[in-house]
Amino acid sequence: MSRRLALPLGIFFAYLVIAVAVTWPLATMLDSALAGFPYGDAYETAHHMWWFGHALQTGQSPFFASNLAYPAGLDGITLWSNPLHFFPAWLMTYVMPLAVAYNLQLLLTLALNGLAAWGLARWLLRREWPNAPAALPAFFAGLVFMLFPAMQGHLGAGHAGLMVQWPLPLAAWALLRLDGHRRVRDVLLAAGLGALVNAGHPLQLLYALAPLAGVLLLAALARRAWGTAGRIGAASALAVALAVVFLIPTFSATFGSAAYADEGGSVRYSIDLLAPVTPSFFHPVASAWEYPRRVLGVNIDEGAAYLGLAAGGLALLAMLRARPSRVWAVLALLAILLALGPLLKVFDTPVSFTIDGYRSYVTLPWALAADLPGFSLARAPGRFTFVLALALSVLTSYGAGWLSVHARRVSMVALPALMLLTAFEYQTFWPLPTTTAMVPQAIADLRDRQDIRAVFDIPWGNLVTAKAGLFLQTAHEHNLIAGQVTRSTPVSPARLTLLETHLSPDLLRDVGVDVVIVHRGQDADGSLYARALDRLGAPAYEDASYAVFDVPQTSAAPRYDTVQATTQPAPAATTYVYAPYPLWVRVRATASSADVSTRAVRLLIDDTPANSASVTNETALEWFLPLTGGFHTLTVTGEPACPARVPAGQTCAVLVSPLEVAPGEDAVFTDLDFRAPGQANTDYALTLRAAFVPLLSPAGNTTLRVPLWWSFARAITQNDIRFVHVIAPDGSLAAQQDTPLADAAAGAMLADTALIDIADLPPGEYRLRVGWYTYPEIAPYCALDFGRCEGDFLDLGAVAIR
Amino acid sequence: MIRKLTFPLLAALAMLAAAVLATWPLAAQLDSHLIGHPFGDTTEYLRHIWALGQALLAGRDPFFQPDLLYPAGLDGAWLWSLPLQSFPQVVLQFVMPLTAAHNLTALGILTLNGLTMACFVRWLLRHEVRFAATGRAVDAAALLAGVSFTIAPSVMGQLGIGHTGVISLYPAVGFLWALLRLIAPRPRTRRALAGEIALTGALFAASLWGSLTLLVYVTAPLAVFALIRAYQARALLRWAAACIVGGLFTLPFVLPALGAAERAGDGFTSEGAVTFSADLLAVVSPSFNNPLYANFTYNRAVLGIDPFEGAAYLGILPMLLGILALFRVKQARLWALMIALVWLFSLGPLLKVLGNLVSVTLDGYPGYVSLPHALLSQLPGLDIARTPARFNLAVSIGMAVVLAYGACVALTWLSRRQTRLVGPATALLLLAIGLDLRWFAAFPMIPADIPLAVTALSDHDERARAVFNVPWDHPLVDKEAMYLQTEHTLPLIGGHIARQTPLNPAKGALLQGTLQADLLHEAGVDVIILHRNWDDDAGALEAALRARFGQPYHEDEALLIFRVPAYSGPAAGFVALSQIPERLTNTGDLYFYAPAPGGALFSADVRALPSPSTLVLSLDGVVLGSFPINGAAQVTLWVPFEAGYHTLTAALEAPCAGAPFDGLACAALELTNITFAPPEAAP
Repeated sequence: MSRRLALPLGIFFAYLVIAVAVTWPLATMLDSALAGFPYGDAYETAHHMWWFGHALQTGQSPFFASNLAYPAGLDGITLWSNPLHFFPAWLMTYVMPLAVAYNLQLLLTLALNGLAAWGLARWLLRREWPNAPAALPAFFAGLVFMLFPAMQGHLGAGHAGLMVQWPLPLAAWALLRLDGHRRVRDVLLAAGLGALVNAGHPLQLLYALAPLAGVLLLAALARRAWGTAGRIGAASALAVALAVVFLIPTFSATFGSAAYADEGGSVRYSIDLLAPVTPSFFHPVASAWEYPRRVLGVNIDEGAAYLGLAAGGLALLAMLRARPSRVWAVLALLAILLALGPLLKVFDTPVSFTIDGYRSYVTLPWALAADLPGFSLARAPGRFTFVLALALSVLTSYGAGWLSVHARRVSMVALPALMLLTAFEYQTFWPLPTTTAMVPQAIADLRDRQDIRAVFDIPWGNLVTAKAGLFLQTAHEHNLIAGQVTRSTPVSPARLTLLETHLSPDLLRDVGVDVVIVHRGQDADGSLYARALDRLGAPAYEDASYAVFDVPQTSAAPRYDTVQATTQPAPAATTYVYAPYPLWVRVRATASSADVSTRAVRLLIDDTPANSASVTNETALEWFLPLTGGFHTLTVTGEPACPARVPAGQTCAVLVSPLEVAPGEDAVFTDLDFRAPGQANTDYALTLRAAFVPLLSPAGNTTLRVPLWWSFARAITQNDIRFVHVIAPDGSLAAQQDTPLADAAAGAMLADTALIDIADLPPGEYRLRVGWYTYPEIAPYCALDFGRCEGDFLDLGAVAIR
Repeated sequence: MIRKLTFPLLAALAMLAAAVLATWPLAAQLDSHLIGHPFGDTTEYLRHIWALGQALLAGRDPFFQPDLLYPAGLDGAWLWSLPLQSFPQVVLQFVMPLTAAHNLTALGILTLNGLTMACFVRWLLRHEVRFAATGRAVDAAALLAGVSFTIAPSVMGQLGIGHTGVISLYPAVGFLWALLRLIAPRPRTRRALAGEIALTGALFAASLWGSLTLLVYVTAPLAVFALIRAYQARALLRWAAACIVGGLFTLPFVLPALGAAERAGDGFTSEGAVTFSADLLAVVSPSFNNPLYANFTYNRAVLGIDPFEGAAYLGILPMLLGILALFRVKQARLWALMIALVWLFSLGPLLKVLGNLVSVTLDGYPGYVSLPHALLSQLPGLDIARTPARFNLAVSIGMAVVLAYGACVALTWLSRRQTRLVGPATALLLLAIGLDLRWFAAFPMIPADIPLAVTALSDHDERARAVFNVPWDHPLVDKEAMYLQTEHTLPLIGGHIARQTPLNPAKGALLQGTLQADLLHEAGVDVIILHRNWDDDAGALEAALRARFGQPYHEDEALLIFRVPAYSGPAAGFVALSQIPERLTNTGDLYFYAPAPGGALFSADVRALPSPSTLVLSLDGVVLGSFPINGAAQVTLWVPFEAGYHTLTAALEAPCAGAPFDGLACAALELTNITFAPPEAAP
């Protein structure tokens, strides 16, 4: 047994030495720095590694980040979906510093990647040339796989989970074995290893396993090897089923949050057409060239896909000379095609063309999948390059193998030389970018303070701050007001912006912020720091990177507050509002149409549609809304929304002025239900959530405004009529407004303002009634009281008309 | 010999019958109506055929058209490159009326298409299919293929707009037969080989005689298909030799046409690759003119605006038989691959579904779904092929073959069990295919009669120099005008050889827009014909003509003819007519006439709506200046010019083409207070 293990162990250590060499000087700063750029995910990943260990030590669920998004905490279920992202590092944190654990995991993963590819290549070569020496070609394959620029690019971005690629060659091996192995346990093994591919990152199923299994399945079908195809299909399906155990909670958590689902980036994070022939601009030689910067300039993390002269040459040789390699060539081409993303890019710019007056971009096959449910989460098609790395490593091994068979002596010299050339060509960074792992002692000492409920890292909207804030938490161990499990914080931007913009001690205290940390590196003009000094007093600690402020004690209650996120007319105008208690607000804006057509705008409260309006030329808009106490985001946006990139010759159809949001009367949420005619007794159609009835009609105004706030349990149409009736003291109908509201889907909400002409009404006390009926039947809706029908209308109260 | 001729003769009769039925009521109106829709090219072709005949009779050069674009005349060398479009009719018109000559030629083309296809497929089935097909099955399958090709919707659609040249596909089928025969590995002498190569080359050249663009749509795909089959080195060499010889045979026809196209400039190249591409669902969209499918809605959405160029329906039975062939006949798979690839190109540069371009916003980039044709159409030389839907002509050739393979399989199976049933089964299949593929319930026809007043123009008005048909810039007016010329025989101010008139737009616009006696006199306009069907909705042009010239010389529902009074006043001075819209989103033109070289000052108040844009001013296509507008500005530009008609174009640097994407509007410039006058005429 030990003999059988000796060779793989030796190979593993050889790859480990190579990993140490290519990541130099990481090995010299294992405990003081983290591998990866400061803007990468190193801090975030390190935080999650720490959290796993910390949560288990303190008896908390590692899958619920209770110390983020204070006080609610964050669903950390995405941490569940990719166990190999953080394991074994979190276990190692018990016996070594966090930074060492993080760095060691990366180095070990790199070596394991090489080892797994070596194993696959060795097995394939022995099948093709049983009597030929496979040592050097297989080693070459491992080298190509572990050092492929995509791998190094993700290393630079601190994507520790994506670095876990060693299950991929193992899954390929297991799937290929199904050609001759027909036992159930072989299928189960392939399924298990297939599922393991997903253990480092929840979308590897899509980026890696799907193209691999798909091509192997099609190859079997083309050979008419029905049995093999069936087993590959079954193993793949089973792998997906196994992975889904991990993925279902992830999907339910991610689809519910715009922070994960609406990120976009499928064009930005796809590879350039020239990426396969573009070495890194950090490379000692290629750094002198101009075109690598133009190709990879802003996307070296996700866009590196350089094939290399040596590996590319051997792959070409394999395609020409070794027939079994051709399926891997197909896989490589497919991976490149998918990695190009939805739009063809050249020099990191989508290629556009104009035909027949229509301007468009060159769409690629990924565009078909990019917007499908599930696929839309896969915002980085560049990650198909991991499969490219595997295919290229196998192709290289076949090429090297063919050389070993047909030019044995030459290969003994040529292959080591080509390996050296490959390692040199693939060098994506020199030196490897690192991020400091040192936390100022003063920040670490916050851990001992019991009076801190939560820490607020600002500027909160800066991703570098957000990630650094997470890393600081590993030292101070206090709750964070923001924080994220992946991508960006899901905490309400209204809450964080209002807190940061005014740094008002009463509001900060009210939400539990006792310490504010200004990340000075991300506060370039020092305005945040100056504001903190002004509002919070002298910092408790400061250095060039951080300033720590204690929030002063205050007994004042926070007051109504707003911050306009847009200060100029924009395609979408947003204002953040803090309501200390439930109240009505009046929202005013002016919307202008860019041409002579009638356009539409939509009002959203906390991203939920609340109403819409038509816009012709310049149109004044006004809505009345009831807000619950707390933070809210009010947005008025063109409908449909203006795309992020406006093509030449076109402009956003609607511009909206900054929103004026003025506070009004207290709001009372009533939740009074109405049942539609013919609806089951246990059901209801819509709910009057709130209404505002003025006690006195406005002086000198001939129109009575009655703001109403509806929610709909089922869809309403133009045939559903809402009425508000003014009833005279003698019980007669004195004035009314009967009108259909906009079509609304089930689950929708609507801010509605009834406008009633009271010009001809004699002064007196009138009553207001609200209700619904269907048209043309004039069948009334039933107003419910605890589920019981109480009549055809709801009495809103009295109003004195003067 | 008689036995050998039996099948072709019977097939020819069957194809003729199919052609007559598919084009009914053409056969009943041979000399009273013209085949094709009024929106089509029939009238234009008729005029060219008539003019070629007149030139031959008068001993003039038939390929120079002095009676078009008066007084310069037009180079008609393009017609030389399309002998199958007009030459048969040119000859026939000497023995029968022009109308009948054209209609009979159309029937003849359809018959020849079907006959050639039937003979080709019969040859293919006899030489290629490895399964033992019975002779009856082969003949029946060939007949089915021929008929389905004769009445193929893509062919009928083209004929519907009078494209008799484009549908002349029988030489292409012959070329395919010759090419496949040439690359087939069989012993032959050098002389026989040379003969085969020469024949194939000749058929290659002939395949382009209907339309040069068939090179892209039909001949090239068929040649590439044969190339894929020619996987042996010798076959490849023979293929290459045939194509080279074919290219050489083509040159005498192509070179004069290319020269004419080069001289004509924009006249021959117009956009339309998106408009004239097939919808994704076109292959499964039968005609809404077919009573069987008249009540469907999706086919109206797919074909609604273009049931002619966009016709690509493959048919239910052909598709079923094709699927059968895919499973049972190995050779059919390569044909299917060819069909699929060519169909992909027929979709054009941008994907259309249900008649609409599919727009997508990917990662914030709004755009359309681009297709491989977008790349093809950028290649030099191929931009002349502006109607990708015509790739469906090659698809119909492939489908006929695949159908034949499938029918052969099915009928062989039947003949081995019930030989007597092969005949009735074939008849049933023919009937079903005919009913399914029928493209028009009644084929569109144009009444061939021309008012006597038009005929009398040349008799009664001896001093008439030229006729100006208005509205001059409407393509259908220009076509109708050319047809009227066959009767009045007077020169036209407009007119064209292909696609659109090369008349200087400034001249056309100023003559029509001002109706100034001096300009009309100088241009030689003695008669103006208003085509009322294409007048503006408000009738402004008619009102202007009546106000200017009084009572028309002739008036009916379609035409108003005015005689231009004799003019003896001073020569025309500087005249300008601005058609630049106040809200400029794309381009707008200001036309002017200058009696002598000089210059004029252009001035306008310009405001950006709402985002900054750049105004570009150009004279006759040559950029004179660019003016970035951020907010509002006054733009002034000195424009030097030569004597004659000119167009000053105002355009946005990034014009808003097509419909804006969702959430977007066209960026615009507001141009007000536009003045353009030479110094002495300035107010």
